[in-house]
Amino acid sequence: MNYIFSFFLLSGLGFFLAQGKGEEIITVITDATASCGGFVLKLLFLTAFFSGIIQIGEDAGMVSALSKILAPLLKRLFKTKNPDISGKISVNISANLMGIGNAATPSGLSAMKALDEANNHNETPSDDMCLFILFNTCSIQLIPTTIMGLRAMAGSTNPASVVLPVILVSFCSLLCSITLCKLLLWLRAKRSTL
Amino acid sequence: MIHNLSELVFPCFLGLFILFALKKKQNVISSFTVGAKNGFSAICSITPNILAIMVASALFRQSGAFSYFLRYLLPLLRAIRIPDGIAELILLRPVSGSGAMVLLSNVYEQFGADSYEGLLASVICASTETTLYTIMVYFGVTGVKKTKLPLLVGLTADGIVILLSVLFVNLFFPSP
Repeated sequence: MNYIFSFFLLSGLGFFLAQGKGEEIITVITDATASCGGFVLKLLFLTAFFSGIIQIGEDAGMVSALSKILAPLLKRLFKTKNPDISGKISVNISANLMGIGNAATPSGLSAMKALDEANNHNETPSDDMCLFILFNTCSIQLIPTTIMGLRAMAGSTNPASVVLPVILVSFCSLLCSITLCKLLLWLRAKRSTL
Repeated sequence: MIHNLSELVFPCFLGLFILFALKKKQNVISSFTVGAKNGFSAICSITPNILAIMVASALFRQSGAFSYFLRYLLPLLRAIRIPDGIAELILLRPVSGSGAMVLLSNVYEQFGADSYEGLLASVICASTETTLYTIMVYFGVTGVKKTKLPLLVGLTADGIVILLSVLFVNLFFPSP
């Protein structure tokens, strides 16, 4: 991540200077920070709202009920035995499955925080953290509503025609990445015991 | 039909949550404010991370560096049956969600939503997430500094999605 960020910045600066458009750099930065401000403000209140809603469900015992349903699956994947953490993970995964991205972010962040506590704020991510983030970097949404909406707006004759390929592709890629992740974690564990 | 169903999911959940809370004699408003407060602090703590990735990707794209590197990737993408028209979209997708949606609309406009380009772009966009952004933001609330392993897995998954999408789009929508 460190290198990607530095590469983006350095090559961006380099290309501006090479084209003799150095004065545009500050304009681009100003525009980007302004649009970031608008984005964060929107995200801030939206996430706060959905965190509030999830808290209602959590206090009403819906979250623990949900995690019981997903428990058999999660027990195989994650090492954590803490019911609070696995509850948060289940909320995030269910929100992702149903495509409520706005509700997935707050539950994902609180699950990540809880995993961080369990990891003693270590600089190296725990096995569970690496696996958990996969459920958020891979799209596991059952029905791709945003894309279907865009397709309908663009005048597609059948906006839903992509649903089946999307589901197949996303679940294959999730399976592949879980396997790859487990393999890399196994290698990491083996190397540290040597 | 499917579209209508998915619009019902969220209101149903919201209603169920509140009904359950009332049944258990919970104080709905105090639950909400506690949660909202946590949501505020979570987003506040990741604001620097969001700022970092947004400014960096803006500089990278608008300087022309992005399209410069893209030119060298085109032959490689053509080899796996990815048309030039959607190459930029595919590479932008892990970094910027809103940017990718703009490019996706452009693809629909230029080639049509039911063209090979349109279908392939739809499947790829719907099967991937903003990987770099997610890793930056989710690890932002933790003490984790070493993100190489999740980054490697996340980007490999995006690569797998691209290959599988080409395969399935050709399978499901055979060109005449």
